[in-house]
Order: sequence, then structure tokens, then C-alpha cells
Amino acid sequence: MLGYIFKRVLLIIPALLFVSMVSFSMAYLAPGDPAEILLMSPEGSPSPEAIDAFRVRMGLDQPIHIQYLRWLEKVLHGDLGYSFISERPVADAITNSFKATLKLSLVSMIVSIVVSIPLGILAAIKHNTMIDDLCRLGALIGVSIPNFWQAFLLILLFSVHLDWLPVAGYGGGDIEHMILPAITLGTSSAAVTTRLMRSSLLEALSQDYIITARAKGLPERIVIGKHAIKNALIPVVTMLGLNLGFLLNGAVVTEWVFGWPGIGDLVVDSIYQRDFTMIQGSILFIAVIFVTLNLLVDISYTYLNPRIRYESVD
Amino acid sequence: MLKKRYIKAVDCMSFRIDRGETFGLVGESGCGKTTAGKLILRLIVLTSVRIVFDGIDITRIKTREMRRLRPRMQMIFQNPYASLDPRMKIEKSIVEPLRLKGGLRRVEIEEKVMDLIDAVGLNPEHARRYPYQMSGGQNQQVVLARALASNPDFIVADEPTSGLDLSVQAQILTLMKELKRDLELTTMFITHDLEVVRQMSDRMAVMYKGKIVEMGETEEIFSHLRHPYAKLLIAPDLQGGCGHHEADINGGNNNFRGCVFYPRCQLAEDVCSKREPEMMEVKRDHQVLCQIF
Amino acid sequence: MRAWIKNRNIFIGSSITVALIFIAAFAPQVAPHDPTEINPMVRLQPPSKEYPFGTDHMGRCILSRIVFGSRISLLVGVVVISGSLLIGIVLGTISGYFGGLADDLIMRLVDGFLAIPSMFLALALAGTLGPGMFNLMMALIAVEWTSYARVVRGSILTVKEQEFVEAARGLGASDLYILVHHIMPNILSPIIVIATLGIGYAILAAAGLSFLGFGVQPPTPEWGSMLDDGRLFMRKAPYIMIFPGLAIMITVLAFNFLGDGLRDELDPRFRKEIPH
Repeated sequence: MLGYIFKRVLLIIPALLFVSMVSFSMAYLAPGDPAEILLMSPEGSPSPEAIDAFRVRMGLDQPIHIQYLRWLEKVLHGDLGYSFISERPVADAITNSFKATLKLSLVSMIVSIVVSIPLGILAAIKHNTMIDDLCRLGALIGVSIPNFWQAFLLILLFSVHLDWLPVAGYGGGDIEHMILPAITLGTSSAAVTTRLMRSSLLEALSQDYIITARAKGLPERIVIGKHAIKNALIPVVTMLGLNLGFLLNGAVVTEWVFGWPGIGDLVVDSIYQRDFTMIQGSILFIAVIFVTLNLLVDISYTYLNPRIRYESVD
Repeated sequence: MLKKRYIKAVDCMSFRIDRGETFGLVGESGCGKTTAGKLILRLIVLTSVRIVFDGIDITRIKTREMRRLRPRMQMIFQNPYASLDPRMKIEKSIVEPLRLKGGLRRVEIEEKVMDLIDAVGLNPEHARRYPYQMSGGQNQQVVLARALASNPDFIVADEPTSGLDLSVQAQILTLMKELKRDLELTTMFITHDLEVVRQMSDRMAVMYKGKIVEMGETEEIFSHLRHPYAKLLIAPDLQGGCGHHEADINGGNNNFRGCVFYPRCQLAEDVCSKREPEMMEVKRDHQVLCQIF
Repeated sequence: MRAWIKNRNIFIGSSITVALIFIAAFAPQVAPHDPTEINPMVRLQPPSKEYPFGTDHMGRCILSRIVFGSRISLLVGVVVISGSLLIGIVLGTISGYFGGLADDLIMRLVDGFLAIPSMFLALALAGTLGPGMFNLMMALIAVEWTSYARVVRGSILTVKEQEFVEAARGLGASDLYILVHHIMPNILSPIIVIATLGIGYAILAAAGLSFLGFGVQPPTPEWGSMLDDGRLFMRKAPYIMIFPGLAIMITVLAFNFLGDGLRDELDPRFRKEIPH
């Protein structure tokens, strides 16, 4: 088992290296000289001296691979540089934003689970009836609906018309400000999880041991409850891990719409402002988190699923 | 971490097939007979073999040259459904070897396909069907047709009748016998069914764990069985039980230097666990892999 | 073939899709007004007979903009998926069929791309490359190709091992022949399914990026950027934002229906039909 973990960790390294190169090069994909762009002001183009001075200060005068290696070295020491715009440490901004995203994600996941598991079970039990069709339709709509539109509809209803909830903002991370974004994110993710729960339960229900349990005369509730659901949950648990990606992706637009100062919002803003060090740092950060979380999910899936466990021990 | 363990599927086999004869290869599942069949057609490639086809040493020739020779040697696989492309109509599957061989005009190809379909006992209307729309026996007929399409000299038939109903089996076997006679084919017939091998083959070999343990003319072997394993396989009711020496069923013990059949052999003697036997000629064209005769 | 019409998902999905293609193709005829015509006199009008979906802050007819916007969305969807498919099939085939070092390298590359959550990557690419539809499509292709490469590779690995491939080799077929005649036809089904679903996803992602301001620029009518316009007028004129969103949802829904239906139809069919 440990060997498996070790192997997987080793496999990550080239991917992360690649990510670091991609993140770093973000600054150079942009057309135009970064220094010039940043120093551009309403009075006109910056003077060559100002550009040079800025360059030297930000270390932009070195050849690319040197810059990359320097940057990489600093990163490995935890130094993600300073924002071009605010001149404050990137790492601080990122960690603060990430805390906000984490809060939102957790609540969204709870929403997602609370909605999807019961609905999935319901759809599976009432397999091929109207209720099943409705659930499946709902899930399909949930996957097709643009999250920024859904966000607006919710805002329109609850903030503008009913005035129950604030329109946007963080508000210190209180529930009021979290509800709408969490519902938006949570329902999108629930749409995917519901379908999975349904198909996973349906498959579990058709297994032989269920038929045996029924033949033994056990009440339907125990048959479904104890045996089928427990086994159906395994793929769902791992799906929740995969939902991570879904939530992170959705967070980009959702956070921005609701003014929730998470990492998605941070990335969008820093791209607007062409804050290159911030862009580099946050992309790298989010990738590392994503990869690590996926790795944890993979490992726990291998651990939970006895079939795969035996294969990997061999 | 994973350790690679090699199991020899085919180990020290040497045999000869003459033109026009049917050579049967028998053995239990897993003894390596399918592998042997694929090896001699170079569908699996190993360098520690030597294969000579009609005087040509094909062991190491280049792929392109091999491809030119392939129309002359065809294989019939065990599972008719698996060996036909499920997305191709039957006629397309039969046309394929003709197209690959080249040199025929479209009209000639169409004619030939119809001839083949007729020759294997199918109806022309089957031509437009897909494999899943026909039975196992019919699919095997298609596989036969495809194998015969390129006018091969040599066919390796790997369990062509396993999985089919008995009546269908008989049909296919009769068909193959007729075709062999009409087209003067040389065949290697791989099977685990002894009745079939007795019926179909002129000469045969019995395999055990990758080795040939007895080889010779079919009738001779059936009437004068020598090797203990062959006796077990072919005439089990004459045996009084089975021998047990070591539980070496997995074949993973690479240090064992004796006869491969030692653990199960009733007649085993001491020398059998220490030295590997060599093929001994017991009679004209009857060889046995044993050292205690 | 008849079963396809019976399949509800395919029926709904393809009907809507056909309708969309029709609308996009005949946009000038379908739309009541010029989508870029600015008319300050009638700005922010609620839906009426003259302007069935109302007008936006520049007095443009929202319905007309939505009709013309369908062209953009469908174009982006098709181009992104085609580009991703092309790259994905080429790399996936090399990886799956030939294996070896190439496989390892390509898979590491895929891992690298997949390490960054797709929206972040697309955002960063679209944002840094600069505005415009072309950059938007490039950014999305760069994100999408990995899924196709993986699916193609996986399918090829499965098909490659099947006996009819070995049989074809035994007949003397070359690798190229086998790839074209035997392997490709047998991996089409999963590719069609993910491509269909992918168009829906691409449209959604493109709308999201345009909404944020990266991608299609005004005055080109794109559904996502129309939603962005509608943000400021949410209280006074919510219809500016409601209708484009609805259009996106219906379009993506159509492709999802179609994709789901195709998936049901194409996969179990071949499993069902092999008699035992």
C-alpha cells in the first residue's frame, strides 16, 4: 500500500513541474511588454527609464530561463513574490482568499450531499416512474444551467424582490452572505452527484446478494438500507472527491458574481488588473491544491475498494 | 513493487508438419497450445524459435516480407464472435484478405466471395448480415471462408469447434475435412477434445505445460500410449488414480530441474526429479518425452 | 435506426438542435431587427409586441441579439470540439496504439494539463492571450483536448487486444490499415458521445468566459456577454439578463439530451446483441 502511495506521489512531480512552467509563462503569453502595460497611465506611455527601473526592480531584465529558475527557487521556499499592483506579498493574499473559498466549498458540498443523496435514492427506488424521470430531468437541467445565470436568478428573487438576503459580499463570512453562493454551487454539483447516486444504487440493487437477501425474506427497507446503500456509497464518496474539481471550477464565476473574496475571485481580478505575479502564484497554488486533493481521493478510493486494494498489493 | 514472473508457455517444442497432412495438437487448457499455434504464424514473436515454412526460414524475416507471405498461412481462432470485426458485414470480413492480398479486380473479388460463402455452406443472403445476427456455428463458417479466401497452403485451426453445439461441431468438422481434401490443405488442428483429434488428424502431439510429451501418427498413439500424461489424458479409466509428489502446480519454482510431469507421475523414479528427459524414439514416428523406458 | 426515434432523449435533443441550427443559419430572416442597431430612444423597454424580449441599455432588440448570438455559440462549440477532437485523436491514438515512451510522455503531458482546474486554466489562457473569439477558442481547446485524448487512448487499448485485430494482422494487414479500418470504426461510439456532450460544455464555458469579459467583445452579440451587460440593470430591466441565460440553458440542455440519448443507444446495444 505504501508502495502504491509512493508511486503515485512520484507521478505527480512531472505534472507539477509542468504546472509551474505554465503558471510562470502566464506573464509572457500576454501581448506586449508587462512592464510597459503596468506602467501605462492616463498621461501617456511611461518613459524608457521608468520601464527599465521597473524591470530591474521586478527582475524582468534577466533571460527567461533564469527568471523561471529564480522564481521556482523562491516558490519552493514559500515566497510567491509581491503583487505588481498592491506590492503586498502574493502568498498572503492567496491564503486569505483560499480560506474564504474553503468555507464556501464546504458549505456547498453539504448542500450538494443533502440534496443529491436523498434524490438519488428516491430516483433509484422509483426507477422508471414519473418521479425518476423528474429527478433525471432536474439533474440534467442542473448540469446545463449556466451558474452565473442561476446566481442572478437567485439574487433577483431573494435579494432584489424579497430582500431577504444581501446581494453580494463577504460580510465576515456569515451565513447570510454564504447562502446564495452555496446554493448556486451546491445545486450544480448536486446535479452530477444525484445521477451517480442513482445509477450506483441501481447497480447495487441488481447484485446477487440483494436478491439473496430478498429471498431470505428480509423486509425491503433493510434490504435497501443496509446492504445496497452501503455499497452504493463507495463510488459516491469518491465522486465527492471528484466534485472538488467541479466546485473549484464553478467557484471562479460564482465567487466573482457574489463578490465572495475567494481564490476564484482573486484570479479573475488579478487577470483584469494584469497582476502577473499574482496570476502566477494563484494558478500554481490552485493546481497544487487540486492535485493533492485528487491524490488523496485516489488513495482513499484504493483503500476503500477491496478489489483494487488486492491488485495493488500484488 | 511489482516483480515480473515469467511462466514459460512454450518450452522446448520441436515438430514437423508435412505438406497435405493434418497435425493435431492436444492438451489441457493452459498447456500452451494456442500460444504454439500463434508462434508458428509469427502472431507472437519470440527470438528463441526457428520456424521454417515451405523451405523458407521465417523466423527473422522483415515484417514487410512476412506480410507478403501471410496469405499463404492462415489462422482460425477459437471464438468466432471475437475474431470477426463486429462492425463489419460478413461479406466485408471475407473480402478483407482478398483486398489485402491484392491483384484481383472487383468483379473477380465479388465472385470469389460468393464462391467461398457457398463452399462453407452458407447462403448468399447471409453475406449482408453482421456477426451478431448469426449463430456461433455460422460465424465459424464465416471465419473458415475468410481463412480460405487467400488460397492458403497452411491453416492453423485453434479449437474451431469448442463452444458450439455437438451437431454444429460435427457439421464444421465434416466441412473442414471436405475442404482439406478438395483444396489439398495442410492443417494444424489445436484442440482439447480427443475425439476430434482422432477424427481429424493424421499425426498428432500431446502437450503438457509447454512441452510435447508424446508425438507421432495418430492411430499409433491411440493404440500404443506410452507417456504417463498421455495415458491420463486419453485413457483415464485405465489408470488407478493419480500420483502426487510435490504440490508444484503453479510452476513457479524455477530451480526444479527434473521432468515437468514429475509431480503427477505414477511411474516416476528418482532420476525423474533430477534430470530433464529428452525425446526418445520409441517406434518409427512415435516419440515420447520420458527417460524411464 | 427506428430505435433512435423512439429514444426520447435523442428525439428531444436533436429536435432542439436542429431548430437551433435553423435559427442560426437563417438568423437575418428570423430576427425582427438588426442586432447591432443602437436606438437610444427605446432603451430598457420591457417585452412588447415590437420587441418581444425587450431592449437593452443601448436600445438594441434583445431577441434579435439572441438569434444572432446562436451563431456565435454554435460556432464556438463546434470549433472548440473539432480542434480538441483532432488533437485528442492524434495524441490518443499514438499513445494507445503504439504505447511505449510516446504513451508515457503524452500521458504525463495530459496529467500536467489536468493538474490545473479547467476553468482556471481557460481563464488564465484567455485572459493573458487577450480578448477576442479566436483566443477564447484556443484557450478552450487547450483545456478540452485532454478528455478526448484519454477516451481515445482507453478505447484503443481495449479494442487493440481483441481477437479480430489479431486476426487482421494474421491476414497481413499493416498497422495503418488496422487503425483505419478496424480500430477507428469500433471506437466511434464513445467519441460521438463525448463530443456531443462536449459541445454543450464548450458553449457553457465560452459563455462564462465572455461573461467575465474575456472572449467575444462587444458589440458582437454573445449570450454570455449579454448577461454581463444585464448585470447593471438587474433591478430595472431584468429581462436583459433572463433571456440570454435561458438561451444558453436550452442550447446546452439540447446537447446534453442528445449526448445522453446517444450514450444509452450506442453502448449497451452492442452488449445486448451478442447472443449467448
